[in-house]
Amino acid sequence: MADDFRSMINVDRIIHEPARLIIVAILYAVESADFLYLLRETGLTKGNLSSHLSRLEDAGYVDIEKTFHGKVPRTICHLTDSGRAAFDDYRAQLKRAINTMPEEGRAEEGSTLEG
Amino acid sequence: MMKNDIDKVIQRTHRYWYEDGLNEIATGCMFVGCGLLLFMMYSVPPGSLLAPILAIGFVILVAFGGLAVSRAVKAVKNHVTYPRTGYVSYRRPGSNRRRRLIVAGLGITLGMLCIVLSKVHALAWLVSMPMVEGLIVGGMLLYLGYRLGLTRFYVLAFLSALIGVVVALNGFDDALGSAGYFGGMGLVVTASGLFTLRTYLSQSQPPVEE
Repeated sequence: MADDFRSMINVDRIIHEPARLIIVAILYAVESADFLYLLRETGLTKGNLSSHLSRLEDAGYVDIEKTFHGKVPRTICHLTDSGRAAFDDYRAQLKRAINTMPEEGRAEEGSTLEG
Repeated sequence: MMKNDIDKVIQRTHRYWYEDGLNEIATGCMFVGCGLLLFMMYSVPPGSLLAPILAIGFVILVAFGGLAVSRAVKAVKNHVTYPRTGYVSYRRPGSNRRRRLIVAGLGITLGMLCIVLSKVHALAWLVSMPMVEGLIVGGMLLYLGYRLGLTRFYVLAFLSALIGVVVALNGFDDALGSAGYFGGMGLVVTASGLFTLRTYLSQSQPPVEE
């Protein structure tokens, strides 16, 4: 039990940050999504979103491709295989930690492991 | 960040495909097309040259309708949805064993239910085509509504079953009953899509040139 909690200390900090976690969760559900969609769904500012995407790109978790749709530029982002694997690991760690919580705490804390 | 929130983010992302109602409009139109073709097949006199042409048309519509709907929806989304609220490309559904088992289980259960009900004379009307179609489409809508967290799909599922029951109770011939079911359900789904599209357009801003 303690090991499972201790493993939470070693979670992937790049994914664990709330804004990046939302970005990765969105990209996990799709093949790719553009900057506008991520901006709308995350509620971040353009600068913030750019900075988080750069961080994820540097970690090798996200690929960013700049294309054009007609004359309109479109920035397409998609999760790399290592990004997908890292997110799977992160979710597994989170699930393990929640499952080891006592029953009475699970209803509240189980779904509220704040990042 | 909460674990449940992660699931909600993923669910919301899947739901985006249905947010503008375009998929419902296209699917509804396909249903109406199916209904019209079935009605024409029922109406043409036996031995007419039109009968095999309509039959081939129906098979083509059933076989390639889903693909055509998907392509048409993507093309319209490129002009209407993506410039407003962003572009998303979805992953092709993989071979999920659990999902296949659920679908197979539901199919077998429904098949067995039909066999049992057909043996009970007083309930034999339940096994009519429109009833089965209403339940199958309703079941699919129910599953989608649950998976995506979309309340309007629960309403559509109920309406699908209701239309199936009403048409079955009228005691139409199977072909005419199916035509009635698909025509009616097609109009309902299209209306739901149009209402959703209107809401989406009123809530989302057109792109602004920078």
